[in-house]
Amino acid sequence: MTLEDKLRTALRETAGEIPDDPPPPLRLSPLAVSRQHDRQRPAKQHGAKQPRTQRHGPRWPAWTAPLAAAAAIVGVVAVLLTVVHDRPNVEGPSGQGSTTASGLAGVPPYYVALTIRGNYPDPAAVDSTAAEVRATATGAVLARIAVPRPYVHFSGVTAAADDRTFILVAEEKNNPPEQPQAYYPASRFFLLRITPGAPAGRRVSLRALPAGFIPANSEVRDLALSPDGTSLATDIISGVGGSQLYVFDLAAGTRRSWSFKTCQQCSPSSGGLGLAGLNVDALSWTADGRHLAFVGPFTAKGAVGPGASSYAPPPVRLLDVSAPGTNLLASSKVALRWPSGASKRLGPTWRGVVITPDGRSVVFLEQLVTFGPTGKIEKVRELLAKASVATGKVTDVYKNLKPVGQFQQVMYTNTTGSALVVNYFGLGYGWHAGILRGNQFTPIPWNPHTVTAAW
Amino acid sequence: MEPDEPGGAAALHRGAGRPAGDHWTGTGWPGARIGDHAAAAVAALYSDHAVSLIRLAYLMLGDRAAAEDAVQDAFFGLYRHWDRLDDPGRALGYVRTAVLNGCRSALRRQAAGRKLALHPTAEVSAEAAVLSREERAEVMRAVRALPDRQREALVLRFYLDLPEREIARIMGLRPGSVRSATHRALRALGQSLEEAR
Repeated sequence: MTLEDKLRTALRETAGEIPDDPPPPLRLSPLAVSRQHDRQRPAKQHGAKQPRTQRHGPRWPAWTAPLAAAAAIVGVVAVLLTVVHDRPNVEGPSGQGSTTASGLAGVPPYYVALTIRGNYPDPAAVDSTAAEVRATATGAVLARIAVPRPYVHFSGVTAAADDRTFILVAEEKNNPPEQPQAYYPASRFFLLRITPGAPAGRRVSLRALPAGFIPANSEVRDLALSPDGTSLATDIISGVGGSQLYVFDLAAGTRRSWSFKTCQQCSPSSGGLGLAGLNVDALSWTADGRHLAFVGPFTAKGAVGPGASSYAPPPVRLLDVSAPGTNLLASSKVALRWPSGASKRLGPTWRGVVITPDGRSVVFLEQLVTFGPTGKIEKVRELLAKASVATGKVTDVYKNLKPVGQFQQVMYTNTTGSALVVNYFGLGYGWHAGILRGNQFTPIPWNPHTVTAAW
Repeated sequence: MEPDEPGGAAALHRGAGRPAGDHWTGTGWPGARIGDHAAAAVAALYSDHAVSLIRLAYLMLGDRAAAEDAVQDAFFGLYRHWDRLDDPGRALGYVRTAVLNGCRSALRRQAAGRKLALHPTAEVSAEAAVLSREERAEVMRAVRALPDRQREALVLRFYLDLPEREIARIMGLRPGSVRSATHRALRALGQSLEEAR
């Protein structure tokens, strides 16, 4: 049993000491809450401080991003580039062999990585995530892209199929409010184009996309660039209005959005596309650039809890972005249901769901749970699997890969899903990545400070 | 997947869609008024999520009474600030963050008075448990010895199975900082368990 498994099991068994009995009555009286604090606090502290619930903290001011002024302009942003000629990746993990170009199995030769600078895991270093263009086979850094001010780090990246066009998300510094409430730092999309064969210093160009694409006090939860690089699909959650699926036409600067309501009184998509935002990293396109796959939404029909008898994670749905309509449910159809069947208990789920460009398969990370006779969790397994859209059945399970601890992300799939690039949290708590073909895993040179990448 | 909160925001929707009285009957808390929308909505959320949040607080605090208090406190905070909530659909995230904040405060108070002892574990049959009682106690002792932020990151990741972005939102950190905290916590946990042998 790995450390993570042991930890997971210990936490769940310990939490299981709290029975499913009805909780104590809710008390919404300040006096009642104050009394609880008195009971909790040692006698010598009585009267020393106001009860915490009596304190009124300052409300964090809302962001005042200059949306209107910036919305119509697509400005060329000065890019600070440090171009490094092809050379061995000195930052790559030791002990991993290089993957030759001929061994890439159709995986594009370049990728854009988001990499933490400095001495990981120094938090100050983590706050300065930069983007790097790297060669897949060697890990060589072709160019580094500094974050345009006032943004301080890149938080997301997605790629078109041409291996030349990418979209980055840049975020301003996070200043969390004292009071727990919805808060997101301002962010913006940037279009990155790479020209690996160009002279040094001209290999990369970065353009800001309209600031109005991301409303103030909103967060980009997921993004996927269409294969032809003309449409950007995003799941954006806002402090007002919940989560919506947007598709931006990058050439025209226009957008369409889809949302849904799970009840008459509910905010549109307030639960997010997936289950309370649990299915991030789950937008993907088919090769025609017309169908967008996503997980969810989680509707009341599939809910569990008092009165519900079974549960299954939300399905993979396919949205035809060329069809009219704004209702996410009405405009999309189920492509694949959770293949492991409904459960009477909670725990099984999937994430990192990606449809293959041919539209025939779905690759996903599956969490399976074995329950004991008393309902306690006995075992948790995470598998990387592939299922057929036509049959709804699992066709491949990638297992017994050493020393893989747990797959974290599916960063690339070829047309059929026969070649994947995945990363995982391996032994020594380091990040690793490699190409998966069948059950053959070939590590690629990988900077252990790189947290995600797009091909 | 969050094992105890299957509905997540969807469960809140179900709650919000119910008649108000459905959740009030029998709760009997002081000050409740029929027709009070905020109270009804908070009560619905409490009905759906209180147990799971108590479990979360229990993992943080190791004390059931303190965990229940932290959750009560968080829901009262939600009630007080309900009109400031931009989107009721985000209420669960709000209250979850508030529970963690409450746990931090409770731990600070407890640290001033006494060391937080590991709560005695309930009897678990050897057959049903994956870990032995001693192993589990050892892991939980090591978890509770971690700094607050690291412990929170581990609990949210490995108990609630939340993705990094969601953890970051709850903890008020950036995903990179969450990753860093998780990394350090796992390393410290591994060392701690190794030393215990």
